[in-house]
Amino acid sequence: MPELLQLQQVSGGYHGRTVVHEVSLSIAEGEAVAAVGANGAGKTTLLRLIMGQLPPSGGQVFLAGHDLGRLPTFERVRLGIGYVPEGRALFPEMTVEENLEIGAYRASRTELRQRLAYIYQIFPRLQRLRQTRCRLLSGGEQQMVTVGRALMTQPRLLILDEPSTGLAPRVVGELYQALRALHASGLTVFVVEQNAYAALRFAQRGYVFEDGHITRVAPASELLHDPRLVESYVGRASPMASS
Amino acid sequence: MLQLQTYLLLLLTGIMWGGVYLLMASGLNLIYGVMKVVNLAHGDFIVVAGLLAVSLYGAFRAGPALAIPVATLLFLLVGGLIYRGLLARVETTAPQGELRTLLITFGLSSIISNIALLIWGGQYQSVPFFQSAVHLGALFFPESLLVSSLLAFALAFAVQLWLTRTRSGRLVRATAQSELGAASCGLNTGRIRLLTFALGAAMAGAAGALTVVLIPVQAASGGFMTVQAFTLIALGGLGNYLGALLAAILLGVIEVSSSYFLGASAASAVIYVIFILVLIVRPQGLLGQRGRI
Repeated sequence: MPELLQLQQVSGGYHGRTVVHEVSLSIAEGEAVAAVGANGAGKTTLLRLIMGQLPPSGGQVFLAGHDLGRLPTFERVRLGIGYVPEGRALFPEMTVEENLEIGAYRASRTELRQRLAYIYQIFPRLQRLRQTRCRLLSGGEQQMVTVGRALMTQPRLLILDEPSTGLAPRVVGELYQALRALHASGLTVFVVEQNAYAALRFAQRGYVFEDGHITRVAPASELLHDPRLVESYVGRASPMASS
Repeated sequence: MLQLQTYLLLLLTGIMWGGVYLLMASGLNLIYGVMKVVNLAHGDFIVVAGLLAVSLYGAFRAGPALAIPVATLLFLLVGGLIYRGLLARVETTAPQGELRTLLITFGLSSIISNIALLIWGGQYQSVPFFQSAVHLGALFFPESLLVSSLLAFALAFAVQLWLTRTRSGRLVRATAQSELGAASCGLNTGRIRLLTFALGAAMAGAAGALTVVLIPVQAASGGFMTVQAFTLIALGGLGNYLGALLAAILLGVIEVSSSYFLGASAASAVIYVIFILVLIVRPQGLLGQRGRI
């Protein structure tokens, strides 16, 4: 399968302190991949490097074989990376539908309507809430809007940063259900999570992230059954573990 | 009966002054709302636009009808250049980003006011337009105040319509509410910041060219105007449009009535007392989150 996203020895950090050390990884077209690791392992920094939110101190990021170089975030989005940032980054004073519409602000009217219909099909609850200001939504609903807004950009690759943070276990289940459906329809998904259990149950392949290094790559099912990993990231840390 | 008339006069005059203050603060408010940059050179933009209007009057006997478009276009350009040349080069997302932009605009403020001093000297100057009085029933209003406030409210309304009803305005609001969110929708946020700063500067230009018929200025008046405009937008909740409108009217009425009852010098002190009280009691502004850009 062709590689959609490829990182070659990417390093980066803040104010001269390296957080991500020479990370290489690749995600094939149509794959669902998770990167798991403890809080502070550098997962969010890695995504910021992929999205051009942070200049790398070394290495390269390729999308479908093209070096993304120093392209700003918006150009990467236009090239087909849908981004669900940590903390959601919604437009709180705008309605659900306005948020979604801005995701497709360059689309024609007909096109816009089609994409909205698609989002409402994936997240039916958003259709009922379409006139509600995002500030008033629950955490789970807000996360749905963020995912929906990223999908409105019609990405080839969807990247999610800690989508389950702050959500009740049932809501996390719903969210991953939607991601499963999106993946089944052909979308490539890369999710970074502290909630290793939820992410690895969803993904086909997993990367384990420790102190800014990738320490393991394996099929997700294998990582899920690794006693050491389960102990450190899944075990008692996840409320999902018992379900 | 006479007393009622006095109160009505104070109220209406206060509202009109509120409109003028709103106009003088609108550009600052827009820039802060979208970019989180406090443009300390804002008042100097107003002053230079005013002095430019004075020169246009001196050279061609031209009034605000010419001075306003000239100043607006000039500051649209100046704002764009300042953003491209200076502000865009400072990482506003870095931890000290806000402090750095503050220092840059502070530096700009001194440079601009000193250049203005070289060109126009230090005297207070004004443009003698709209000098008659207008009768509304038994009340008299200075024509300059009436015209300025009507135009000011119209401009504020137009900006509000642009922000809420047009596509480009909506993208500007989106960037104001979450720059990261806007970038992850594929919006060129750098261009939106450029547009915002240029527009904010243009609004200062328009304000200066208009209000110089009402408020005489000299090269160094900018600092005070910046503080006054900042007080207004802080009272309204930084970057809050509806809040700024309410704050403008409130400040106008308070200033006019305290100057009537306590004298002009006490009036300017009252403004600062209110400013400090707001910062202590309601730092999020009159309306808080509601009505943000």
